[in-house]
Amino acid sequence: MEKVKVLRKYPPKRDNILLILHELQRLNPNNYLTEDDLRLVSQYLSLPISEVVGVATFYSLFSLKPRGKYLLRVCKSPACHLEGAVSLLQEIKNYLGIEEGDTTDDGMFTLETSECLGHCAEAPAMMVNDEVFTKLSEESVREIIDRLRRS
Amino acid sequence: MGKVRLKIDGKEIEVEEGKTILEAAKEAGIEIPTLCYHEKLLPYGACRMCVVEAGPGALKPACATYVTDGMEVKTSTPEIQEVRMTVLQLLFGERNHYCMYCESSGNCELQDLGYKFGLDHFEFPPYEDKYPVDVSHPYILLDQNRCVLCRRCARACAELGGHFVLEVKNRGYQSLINIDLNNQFAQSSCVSCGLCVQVCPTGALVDKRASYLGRKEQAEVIKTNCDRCPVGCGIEVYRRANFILKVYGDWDSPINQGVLCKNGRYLPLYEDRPRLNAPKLKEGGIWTQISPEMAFKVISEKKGAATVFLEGSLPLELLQAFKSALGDRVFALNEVNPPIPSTATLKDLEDADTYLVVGVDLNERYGVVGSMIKRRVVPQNARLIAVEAGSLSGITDFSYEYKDIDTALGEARKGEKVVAVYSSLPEGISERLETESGFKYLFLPYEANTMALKELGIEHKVPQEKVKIYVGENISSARSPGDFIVAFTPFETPELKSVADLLIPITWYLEDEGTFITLEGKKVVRQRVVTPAEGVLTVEEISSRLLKI
Ligand code: SF4
Ligand code: SF4
Ligand code: SF4
Ligand code: FES
Repeated sequence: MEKVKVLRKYPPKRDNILLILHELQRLNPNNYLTEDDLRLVSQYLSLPISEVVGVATFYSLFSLKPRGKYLLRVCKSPACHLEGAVSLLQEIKNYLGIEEGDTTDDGMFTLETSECLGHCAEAPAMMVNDEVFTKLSEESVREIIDRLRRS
Repeated sequence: MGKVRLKIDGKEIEVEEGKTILEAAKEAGIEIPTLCYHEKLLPYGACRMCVVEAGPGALKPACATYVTDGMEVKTSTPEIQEVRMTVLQLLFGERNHYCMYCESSGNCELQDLGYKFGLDHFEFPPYEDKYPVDVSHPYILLDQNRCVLCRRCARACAELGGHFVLEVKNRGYQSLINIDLNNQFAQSSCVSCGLCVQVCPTGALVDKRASYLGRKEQAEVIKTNCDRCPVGCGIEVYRRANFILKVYGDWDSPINQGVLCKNGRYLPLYEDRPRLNAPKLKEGGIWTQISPEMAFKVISEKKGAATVFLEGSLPLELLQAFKSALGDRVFALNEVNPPIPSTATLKDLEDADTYLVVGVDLNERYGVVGSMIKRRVVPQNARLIAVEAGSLSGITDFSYEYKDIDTALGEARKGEKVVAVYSSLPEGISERLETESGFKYLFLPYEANTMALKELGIEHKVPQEKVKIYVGENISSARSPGDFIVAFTPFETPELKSVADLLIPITWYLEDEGTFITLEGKKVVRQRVVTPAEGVLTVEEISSRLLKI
């Protein structure tokens, strides 16, 4: 099984928990960690399941809920905030019809916020999966979303 | 260990290396406020109530900062007090700390700090968010709205109990106490040891039964020993009037150091078998209440033919009384002799590298012994070889059935300090086990006072006689025509009533003083904490009446 192969790549040491969780999450088409994943890690690393849940919920890059094909992460750090990140976020919510943390019914988009993306000079910014978009406006986010939807 | 010299609030002091500032200050008689700190747990540094100045401009948590030579510590400058005040204001504002609706009001470390710092208003807008409340557990209530995230519960569950059920999930203000895999308490691996409740400083974890029945000030706290099994843990019993509010583990007890199990902390307080409150005689199928005199007259008449069967749950004094009255016709109802005699003490569990647990589920019985083992096995400081060890097999890769005993022994032999832990063993297994020269053996006696039966030389025998006198709390008996069955017992269960002819009420649990001999052979005394109901015969009454039959 593919998951077991992922585990075997790493020695069963506690230190490897983040690497393993990342790989398992990436393996999942819905980009999240299932209860079985958590149990598997708990068993493989001989860690209490409560501790694995603690780690997996601490980092915002992990999710225990299914996520969309595209993960929108809107930066909410001060620079972006001053450049209108709040209304931008509201625009995306309206346009997609979902709240922060939710996924659209068609499974295309999940909306999250994030700490500083390191693009303060080009604020406001957001990340879509691994790609960063900057100097956003309400029109440009709608365009980006439309384009992703068509692709 | 070397010594370290430092200055605290201008006072020159010398302490042992490896101490924290908090411990050093305590030694010097200087008090520093704390919240997440707990004497029995590893330093954690979550709350920042204990900040002190150690070096110019640097505020450090005293509970989690170790002393160094030449350190200069200030514990209460105006700046420090202000920081602590802010921390406290934040703690009060973050969740629901409206004390008047809280069960722990009057017994809460957060509230104590509030009074100490003279908090008289909310500096920050108080909480708006609602957090989950879990009422599913039979004995414990978890209200996350009152949690200060000190993580004492999770630390105690893991470090002391060895259960590793609790953790913190999420982060920041969304942090919550997590149970296993996001479980409800009742559907979790919690073994109901109650440690988390005992260490929680606030009203976030409360004891359901003791709730709203009285505060610590209204209760008397009596230190004594648990009589539910031969470990003999030190307990603190909270009594109000003639009622037991709750049982806590005694942190000062050399046996259990504060840890308890479900059987010691909760089960006796939830006992619901009907109590027997007067002697009763069955004649022609009908039960009638009789006087103690009558009851003992019947016994005296049957004395010549009677054989006595004593449970090992009884105090030494009562065992002795029957033994002196009826001599060689007194037997133990249950097994007495160990399959292999003990060569280890509980202390040997502290530094063993391998535990071989055979035929006993330590999550169900002898729970504190289980904690001593689990808290070293789960963090991988020692290995557990489990042979038919019930739920304990879930925490080890080395789990075997009896038929694989040789493989298990081979695995255990790889250890240098091996302790074998067992109670009764099936035939064939004890022979295999006892020949290991390198092992230490820890026998867990079958009942709380099995060791007293042994000391009195009372042997086990299967009851076959016509006239039987049983003494104990878990009596069950077969009955054949012509039998006469007497039971000295605290409970009148329908099963017992269907077989017995005469029932005599005896005291139970903390209703009577009595001596117990622990698995290590130590004598501990169970105090009388509550007065038994009228009509129940005390150990003393029974002893003196037995002398006269
Ligand atoms: S009752 Fe014991 S086992 Fe259960 S969560 Fe609390 S400390 Fe852990
Ligand atoms: S439940 Fe109690 S002990 Fe646990 S973190 Fe919250 S306040 Fe601390
Ligand atoms: S281990 Fe035994 S003595 Fe200790 S609390 Fe549990 S039942 Fe009581
Ligand atoms: S008591 Fe030191 S940080 Fe909480």
